[in-house]
Order: sequence, then structure tokens, then C-alpha cells
Amino acid sequence: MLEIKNLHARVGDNEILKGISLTVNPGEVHAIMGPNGSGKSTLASVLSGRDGYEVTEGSVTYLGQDLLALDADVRAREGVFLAFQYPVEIPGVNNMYFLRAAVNSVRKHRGEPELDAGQFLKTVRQTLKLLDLREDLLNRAVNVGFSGGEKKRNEIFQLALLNPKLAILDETDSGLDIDALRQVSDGVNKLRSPDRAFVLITHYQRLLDYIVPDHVHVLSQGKIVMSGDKSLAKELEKSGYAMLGDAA
Amino acid sequence: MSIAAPFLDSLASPRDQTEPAWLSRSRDAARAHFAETGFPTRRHEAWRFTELKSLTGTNFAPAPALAGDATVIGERLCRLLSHASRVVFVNGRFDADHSHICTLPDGVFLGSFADWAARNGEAADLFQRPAGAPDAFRALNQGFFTDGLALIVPPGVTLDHPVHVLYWGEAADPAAAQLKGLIRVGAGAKATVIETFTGTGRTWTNAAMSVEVAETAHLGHYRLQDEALTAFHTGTLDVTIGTDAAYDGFTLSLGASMARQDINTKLIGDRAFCGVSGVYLLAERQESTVATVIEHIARDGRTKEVFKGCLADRSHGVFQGQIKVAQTAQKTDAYQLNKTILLGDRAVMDAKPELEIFADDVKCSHGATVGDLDEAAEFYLRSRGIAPEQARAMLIEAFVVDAVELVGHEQARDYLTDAIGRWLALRHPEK
Repeated sequence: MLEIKNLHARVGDNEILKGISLTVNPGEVHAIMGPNGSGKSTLASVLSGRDGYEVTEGSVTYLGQDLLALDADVRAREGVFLAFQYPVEIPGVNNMYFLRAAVNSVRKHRGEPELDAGQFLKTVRQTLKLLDLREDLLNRAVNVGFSGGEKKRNEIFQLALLNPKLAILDETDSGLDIDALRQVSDGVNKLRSPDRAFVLITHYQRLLDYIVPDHVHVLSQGKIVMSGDKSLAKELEKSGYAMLGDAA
Repeated sequence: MSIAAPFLDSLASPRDQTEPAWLSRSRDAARAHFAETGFPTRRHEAWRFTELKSLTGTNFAPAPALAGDATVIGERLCRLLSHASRVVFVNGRFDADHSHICTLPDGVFLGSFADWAARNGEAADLFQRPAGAPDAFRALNQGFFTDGLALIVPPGVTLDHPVHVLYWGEAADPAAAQLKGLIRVGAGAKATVIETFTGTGRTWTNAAMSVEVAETAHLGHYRLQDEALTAFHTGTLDVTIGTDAAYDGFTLSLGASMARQDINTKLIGDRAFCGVSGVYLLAERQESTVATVIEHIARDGRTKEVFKGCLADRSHGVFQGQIKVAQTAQKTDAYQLNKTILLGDRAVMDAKPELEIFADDVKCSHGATVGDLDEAAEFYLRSRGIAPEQARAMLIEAFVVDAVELVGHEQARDYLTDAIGRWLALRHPEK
């Protein structure tokens, strides 16, 4: 589904990704761990098409096409979803209006009929029920005045509505208390399916107690320095990122 | 000075022989004032940022009497508020065929200012020769006005239906329509007026409107300036607000190559409320100025003034907002905010908020910002599949919506929101 080959990227003069290679197949959950400044969030940004990052070498192939050649909105319509580490507050844009615009953009792209307000509300209600979320998120401005937990729940809610093939979760666990973490993780687990892949970017092993990954990769100084199964995360938890000194 | 005389000559048309003597005298005085002072220049503080050259350099004839393009007018009429009295003017002349006036309570006058003035004699002379700075636009208006709106609501009367006024301008060669207007809302009376200025071709609309809101009265006054992009628009609005009265005003400026709105309000009675807000959306090489002077003369007055706008391409916006609080106006609570987003690299905004306070026990605040569209928000929308043009349109609409929400009349608010939506759809088409 996703094939990253020798990816180098920089911000300004600063090279941050220094040759990342990674293959993600449908249905798999990959966790990317690493200390601060290792390039985790840059990887998420490059994959989602955020401006300001320059790819200097390597390639990213998504479902057979050159992902890097697509604009951010086209990537989203093609089924790539980024759950933001810091979801953006947008005063004046009603959450429900925003969600319908997003869902209909994706549907139009897929050649599916757009949903009218009534049909959309029905879909929204089903999704809320599936994720055990409250309806009061809907009639507020996008993320405005949301608590940290509400923002992250809104991200997972969008993930569910947009029905992506590849979901990248950028530090979704940061700033969550244990109850919110559990709820967000339950949501993700319900959305796991054989044709959807997840890339979880996280600093802490904690998230992986709730969302169990198939593969764990450790990123350090812009490179993947270790890969393994879920036990690798446990090992890191014990020894800390300091052990990377030897591996890197 | 030098251009005043040819301007007067080209705007003059044969005198109406039936015109009452007082009006002829008043017109002569106004023309003499203009001949003497001419147009203001950028050396005048209140006109510092307004470029008048394109207007003063054009040779305007008086707008011709014509029926107007019935199809286009009909289409515009469809957009007007339903369940409203409709008053239509074409090139500055009352159009009875397109107008439709609902059954009015006793004593209400709604229709042509010229008709009303003919019945009221010299009392209808609203023009006061100003002292000091040149007042070219008021003077030209008085010198040459043809007609305009008159709405007189007697004390204690509530108009159940809003009044929607459509001013249509149409001219292939440069032509000027001078619109005179009066809205008088008696003590305890209540009314809502929506004015739409629109047209086609090289028109110049120069409107002068006087508004009087008597004690405990309420007026909602909402204006859409949606002239052709080849047109000029200048407007002077003078408002007085009495004791415990409320004036809720809003101006949406979308059209004209060059536009200027002068809004002057005076809170003359205690506990008056003055709402003067608006939105401007400009593109291409449009020039648009909003100049407001709000004077608190009586105690316990409240002002809320919010102007927000977006400037695309090479457009130029100006906001000059003055709030004056006299020594007699203790306990004034005045709030002014002007926020602009520059969408085009070559767009320019000049903002000049000004507070002049002579009372010691007041609460006054003002703020002005000029910035760019929020890139993080734009990326967030795009990351959800929303195309860049649609994302920008959503953010522009979101930016101006809190100003529009100040409009206290739901139908009028929807009407203005739709006009903003049409502007956005034109400028930011969904792919």
C-alpha cells in the first residue's frame, strides 16, 4: 500500500529525514517511535503534504502512484488521513459544516453521490454511536474551545467519517489522560480492518498497550535504526532511548 | 477648484420649471458651495487614503430616465426579501411598476422622496451647508438629486414588514444618479430598511441619506453596495439617535471600481445605542473606503462598531473610524474593531482608528489588525480533502461571519450572507 524508499527531507537548510525506507501493507499497524527531534512528525508532515518540507531524495509510492506528486487535498481524497498532533482551531467554521464539506469532497472524488444534510446527519449519528462519542462536538466551531481530549476524539471521528485507506496518527496520545487515551484507542481499534493500514507515531510505549501494532520501528536522527514486533516497544520502555546510542 | 466648474456644467440638465422656489434656492446654494470648494484632496485628513482621481477625471452626464433592463431588474427583485415592501429606483427615479408597497399603518409614508418633499415644502430641505472642509458629495447631491427613498413612521407605529429598496443604475456612457433619502422613525416606532445598490455599466451613484431615530424608537438599517465593477459609488449617511433609541446599521460593500461610504452618527439622547458595522470584500483593482464618525453627545450611550474585510488581487481598502465622546457623554461605552485579511500580495489596507475622548468616566476600546489567511487552518481543511479554493472560501466566510451576526434582523442577515456566498462562489469556484 505504502512504500517509502530512501526518503530524505529538509526544512530550510536543515536535513531532518536522512534515508527512511518502510513498507506498509493493507491491514497492518506500524508504530514509529523515537525521541524528540528524531524526525517522527516531519515524516507525518511529508506524507500528508504539508508545505515547507522539501524532499531531496527518495520516493514514496502509495497504491502504485507517486504520493509526493499529489497536493495535500488530493492525497486526502485518495484515502490518506493524518490525525494531527495539534488539531487546528478554526473559529467561525461550524464542525458539522466542515465535516460534510470534507466527506462530500472525498465522495465526489470517488464518484459517489454527495450526501445531503439529512443523509449526512444519519451517517454522523451512526459514527458517533460506533465510537461512543457525544453529539455536542458537532455544533461548535471546529476544535474551538475543545479540551485536549475532545480535539483528539474529533480527529478519530473524522477518520471514521472519511474512511481512509491509510491513517497516520501523529502523537495522538500526547496530552491525553488515561480515560481519554482508552477511548481514543478503542475508536482506532474499531476502525482497524483488513484493507486499512495505520501508522502510529508516538513517543511513548503507553499507546501501544491499547493499540497493539504488528511492527515497531525506532527512528533516530532521521533514520530507522531498529525494527521489530510489539516486543521491541516493551524493550524500549525498559531501557529508554538512551540505548540507541549503541544502535545508531 | 479647476475641475468643479466643468463638473457642474456636465451634471446640469434643464431646470424643472415646476420645482418649488425653496428647492431651487437650496440647489443653487449647494452648487455654489461645490463651485467654491471643489473636491476634497488627500491633504484633507478625512480623505487622506481615498483616491478620487478616477472619479474626478471622468466626465459624467446626468443619468438618463429609462425603464431599465426589466429582465435583470426582475432577477434582482427575486433576491429581495419576501414579505417586504419593495421600493425600486432606476437611475435615480422612482419606478412605480417594479415597486410594491404592502398595506401600511395609518400615517406612514413610504415611497418617493420627491413626492414627500412636494407635500412638505421647505421642511423637506435637509441640506445644511457645512462649515469647514469641502463637502463635495453632499453638495453635489443637493444640487442635482432627482429622487430617492422617503420613509416616515409616526410615533408608536411598528412596521410589520421590512422595507427593501432597490437602486438600479444603468448607463453605457458615464452617468451620475444623485439619490436623496430620508428615514424618520418616530418616538417608540420600529422599522427595518434594507437598501441594495446595484446596476450595470459606467454609473456613478451619489447617495445622501438622513436618518432620524427618535426616543425609544428602533431602526434596523442594512445596506448592500453591489454596484458593477465599472461603477462609482459614494454615499453619505447622517444618523441621529434619540434617548433610549437604537440604530442597528450594517453595510456590505462588494461592488464598484471606486467606492466610499461616509457614515456619521450622533447619539443625541441618553442611553442611545449605535450599531455601525460592515464587511468589505474587494478584488481586482477595486478601491473602497469606509469613513465613520460616531459622536457621543449624551450620557450612557453605547456604540458597537465592527468592520471586517478581505482584499484580493490589487485592491485597496480604507477604514477611517472616528469615535468622539463629548464632555457631556459620561458613561459612554464604545467599542470599535477593524480587521482585514490580505488575500493578494499586492492588496493594500489603510486603517486609521481614532478615539477623541473629552469625558472622564467612559469605557472605550478600539483595535485594528491586518493579516493573512491562517495557513495552518487552510492546511487542516485541505488535509481533509477540501480543495484549496473551497478551503479559502470557507475561511473567508468564517472570518467575516461574526460581523454579519451583528445584524439584528434574521431575514436581512440571510440576505447579506447569501450575497457574501455569491461573491465567494465567483472568486473561489469549487473545482
